[in-house]
Amino acid sequence: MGWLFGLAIRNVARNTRRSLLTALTVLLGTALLTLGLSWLNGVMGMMLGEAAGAAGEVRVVEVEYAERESTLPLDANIYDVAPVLESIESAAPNTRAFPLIRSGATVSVGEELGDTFALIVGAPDGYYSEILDFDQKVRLGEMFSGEPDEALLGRLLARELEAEVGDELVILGQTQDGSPSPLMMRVQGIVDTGNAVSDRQVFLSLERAQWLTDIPDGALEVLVYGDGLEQAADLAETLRSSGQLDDLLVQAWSERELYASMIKIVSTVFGIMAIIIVLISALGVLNTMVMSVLERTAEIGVLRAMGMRRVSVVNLFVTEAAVIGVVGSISGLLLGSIPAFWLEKNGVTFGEDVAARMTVPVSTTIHADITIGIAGLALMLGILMALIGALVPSIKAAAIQPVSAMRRRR
Amino acid sequence: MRLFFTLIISILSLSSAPAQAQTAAEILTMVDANLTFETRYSRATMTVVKPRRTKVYEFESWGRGVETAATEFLAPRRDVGTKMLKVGGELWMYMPSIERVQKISGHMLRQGLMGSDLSYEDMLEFSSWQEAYTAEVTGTEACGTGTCWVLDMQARVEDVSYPRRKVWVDQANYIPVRQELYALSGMLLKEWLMEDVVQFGERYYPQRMIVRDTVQEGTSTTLEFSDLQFGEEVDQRVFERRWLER
Repeated sequence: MGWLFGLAIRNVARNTRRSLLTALTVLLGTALLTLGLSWLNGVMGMMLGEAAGAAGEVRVVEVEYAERESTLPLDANIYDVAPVLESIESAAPNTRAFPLIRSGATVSVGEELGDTFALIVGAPDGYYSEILDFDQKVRLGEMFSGEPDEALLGRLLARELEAEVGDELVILGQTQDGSPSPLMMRVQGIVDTGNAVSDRQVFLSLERAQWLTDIPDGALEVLVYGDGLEQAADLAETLRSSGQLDDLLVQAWSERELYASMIKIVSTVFGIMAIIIVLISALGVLNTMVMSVLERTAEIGVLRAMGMRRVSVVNLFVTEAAVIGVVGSISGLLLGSIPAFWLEKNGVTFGEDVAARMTVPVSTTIHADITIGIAGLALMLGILMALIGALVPSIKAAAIQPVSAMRRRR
Repeated sequence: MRLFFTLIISILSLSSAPAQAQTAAEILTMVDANLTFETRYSRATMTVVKPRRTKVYEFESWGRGVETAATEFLAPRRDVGTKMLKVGGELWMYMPSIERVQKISGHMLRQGLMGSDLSYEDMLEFSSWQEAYTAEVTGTEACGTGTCWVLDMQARVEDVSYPRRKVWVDQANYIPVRQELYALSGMLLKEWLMEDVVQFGERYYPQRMIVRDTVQEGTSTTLEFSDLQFGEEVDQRVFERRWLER
């Protein structure tokens, strides 16, 4: 086996230009893979981390609410949230649970009632400070001070309304029965959440949202946070098996249709992108290996005439491809890691126009996320594409009859 | 005995004679005479039943002719002072907690008033059926303790809430004790019952109305008048925009 490896190394070194060209193809493919997969990993992590994170690792809702969720049905509320919070505390003591109300309303600043539509979010202070990290995101004004009529406005909504800190904010929403429900608030602060959807929302205390929607002691959802997104399914199972929330729907984030389909889409894109890059790179390797075989047909004939078996010929070419693949992949990994690390640190920020059209609550700045898993995958796929590229011409080369191969001249 | 039967038959034939002779237009004229008015003052409770809870509203209402009406809510506490004013085709709503007047227009007029099965138009519209609909008597049916004409009414103007109504008019008092309200597509939108009919001078008027939005499940709205006055002097200031914010 050692002689085969030595022969392969010698062959690789013998035609430097050809070997470099092949290695360059693998290098570019691996670099592309490293960068692309890191980017997708970042997008996926952000979607799940921000969107699913803000919506609860686990949530508890009425079954009817989940069925009609897209219409934000206020009448499908948990009418008394206190026993639900107690049940969660008793079943999973080391978790945090936040009741939440989301409701649509028109909002305006000034004397005239406007027709600007916004989503009103009502939650306890802890949700804003511990989960959404608003303490760090209030750009103008201040965080809630505890006064009842304070509202935080998302940055984009504040701009649209031309609202400033201290302005009176008129909210015209609906009660759970569907009757008009007006509310006068004061803009306490303007918050830059980093994502376009949340930046168009109004944030109130839970009590004011309960008044607005006329759900005095209730909420639409209870969001539960435990040991992170990855343990959410276990937490959901713990809550379900406690038997104390049997009348309600307990869902881990990954069990919710929105996020399950999001994962599916991102995973599919992830896979398709990897396959495309592998195929393109493999075609490059295939091309150079075919050329290599054609150039060395006479040599193959001699080797076969000297008694080298077909399988050894295939092994020789595959070993040559593996050597080139390893060198190209490692170099490609290093090359791809540079922009991937840069994107991980700095990210890419969408323009305001793009951000304004986003409907998924994700950050307007997207960072790549390069991990050891991504690096290993890119390295493995880099070598794999070199091997795939080499396999077909190797088999073809091995099939040539020694006599006819030796007759051929370059 | 023969005399007794002859007398009974004579009475029955006399009492049913006007009913048979009535045309749909004449019936609508009589219905309009009951339901439209020069002025009206009322105080009522509105019980809105939803699948998961029931809410009771109390309000005072003033009406002038077919186009002008005003309402002020007295209960529940969160809606006290909410006022509505309809003048012609325009409707404004005053919300005391934000001290603002909101104009209700377009499709919003057909949404549920305070979440009830009654729309804003249902509540504040008193237009003449005879002007708005053509009608045909399709038969008679027993209703309550008496007999009703069954009328199929088709809108003759476009801006009506319900392009088609099927109405059961009590022959005894010309009150449409039951209505089915249809959309242009033929879909049944609402059922409307009028009960506890009381005579006010020459007019009959129901003291209780029950409306059920058939598009929603498990809802109904009952309107019960505790005070009804027709033709009395009404303070005209309630029909001015300034009244809303007063």
